[in-house]
Amino acid sequence: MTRQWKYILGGAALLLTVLFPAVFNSPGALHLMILIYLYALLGMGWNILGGLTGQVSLGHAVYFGIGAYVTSMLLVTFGISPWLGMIPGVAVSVIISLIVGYPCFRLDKHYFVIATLCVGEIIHIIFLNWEAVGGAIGIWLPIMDTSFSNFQFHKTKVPYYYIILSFLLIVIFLTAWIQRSRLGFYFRAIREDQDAARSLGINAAFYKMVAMGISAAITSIAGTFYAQYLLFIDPPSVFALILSVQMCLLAVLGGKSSLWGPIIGAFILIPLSEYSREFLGGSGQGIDLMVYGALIMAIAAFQPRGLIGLLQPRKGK
Amino acid sequence: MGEILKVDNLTKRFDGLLANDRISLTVSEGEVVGLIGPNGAGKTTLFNCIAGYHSVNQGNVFFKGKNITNLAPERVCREGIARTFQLVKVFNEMTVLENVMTGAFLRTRNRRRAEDKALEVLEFIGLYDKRTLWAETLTLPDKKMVEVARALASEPTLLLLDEALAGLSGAEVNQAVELISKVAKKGMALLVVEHVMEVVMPISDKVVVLDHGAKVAEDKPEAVTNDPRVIEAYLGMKYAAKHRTN
Ligand SMILES: Nc1ncnc2c1ncn2[C@@H]1O[C@H](COP(=O)(O)OP(=O)(O)O)[C@@H](O)[C@H]1O
Ligand SMILES: [Mg+2]
Repeated sequence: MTRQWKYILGGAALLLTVLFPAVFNSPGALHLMILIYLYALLGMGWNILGGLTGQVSLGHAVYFGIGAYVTSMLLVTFGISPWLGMIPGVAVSVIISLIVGYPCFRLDKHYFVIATLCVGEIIHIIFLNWEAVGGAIGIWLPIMDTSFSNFQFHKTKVPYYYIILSFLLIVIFLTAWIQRSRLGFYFRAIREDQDAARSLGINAAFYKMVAMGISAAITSIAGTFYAQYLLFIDPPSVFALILSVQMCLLAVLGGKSSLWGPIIGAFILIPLSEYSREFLGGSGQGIDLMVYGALIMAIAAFQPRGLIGLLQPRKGK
Repeated sequence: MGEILKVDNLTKRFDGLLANDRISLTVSEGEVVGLIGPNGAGKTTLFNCIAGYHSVNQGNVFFKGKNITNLAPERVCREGIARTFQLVKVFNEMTVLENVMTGAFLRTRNRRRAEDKALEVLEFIGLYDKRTLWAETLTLPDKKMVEVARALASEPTLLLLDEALAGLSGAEVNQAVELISKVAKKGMALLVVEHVMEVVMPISDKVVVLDHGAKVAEDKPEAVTNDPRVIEAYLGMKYAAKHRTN
């Protein structure tokens, strides 16, 4: 594809997403799109560490949950606007991610996956039993006036749509910048071969922590949005293992070493799981998992680089 | 010429196995030193000790007068020692150019400058035409050259080559040998590991011979070939090989 065509297609896609609410303004359509963008954001956050740097985490729900809980608790107890609360949310997530990363990055890749999974489950259990933050019951956020500074909009979902779209666009630009910069080269070098990377002066331990921190920060912001959008959080909805699995799956399905992979993944996976839930009623949750399993097997067998591999064939470049 | 690398009494043990036994050697500025010895002699182990991949049991490594013993690999590289790997470790999911740029980024943060540097090295090494190919699609000899290019792009003063010529055909070996001489002419010092003696002799200023973890000779190439201990180390190996096939 030539550069020109890329700009034309990119511009058209941007125009479509920006104009979407003007055409499809039913709450259902908007809700679906908001979910897709939210998960795309999660997939892209996961992808900085898991795809670009090759360190597969199955505990990223932790940062999503922390982002959601820190902003919600600050709002409920001190009345702090979620926009401000997002900052300590990110800070706490990044600190926790570095505490997790420091020992876990010393492990072999496979043990790293297991360690992150365990940390995720431990934190889930801690929150289930932590009465001061609502325990298993969770937190209802106070209903406030519709306003941007309150991060609440009651008449229409359109503002939420634009907020999450803006977050996503920022992260797309951030990722594109990382990929082109030295940081991105170093991340990929570590993914491809850590020993070789180190032979070129790359401090692998340090750069893995950087990737972890960026990844956790993005995931945490998504958590803040989620809490404001639903106005209710409890441990299963933000700390569940399935969330961590979904983040990973989106990226792997779409193409985990590419910029657009997680977005493609979200556009396929989220409608699929929403509709399977709708069609199959209350037991839909189990069906989701079966669909995920089948998809993973299909991807592993036919298109290991993810669906993006169909659009960008290898050889040359 | 000043000496830049000094390995002093270096010992490396793997459990019971003495892989490097009190090895001492020096490399001077701009010098090409061949490191030879039969398979299992401890050459790769010595490389890994110098480059920070193995922790050393005893002895020291000095580089430009600084003690770099047990420094992490990335620190060793920043001091000016670059290496290649016996089992190639190219970045498969990167293009040739991107592989080399990764090395060039050691000396600059700027993408343009890294790219210019990488292109210059690729031109020098003869891989310019393949710069847009994915590294995984290359042949083994090309992959080895990508590793050399990547290492060169980090602008080292000492380059460690671990069997960069193994597995190459006759013509390819000649090309590679020419390349090594070209690199040496730029003023870079080289420590070249090979287990085939004939390849290193013509390009080396000095040859160090290892056998069963110990240094058995260190001399001019002509002198080494006539050294009875060297002949024995190699003949011993050939006899053993013959016995196995019979
Ligand atoms: N990581 C390791 N753990 C245990 N033994 C090793 C390791 N690396 C090398 N060795 C052993 O050390 C000896 C020297 O190996 P090596 O340095 O690879 O020899 P060379 O490169 O000269 O062929 C061999 O006997 C080998 O089996
Ligand atoms: Mg070896």
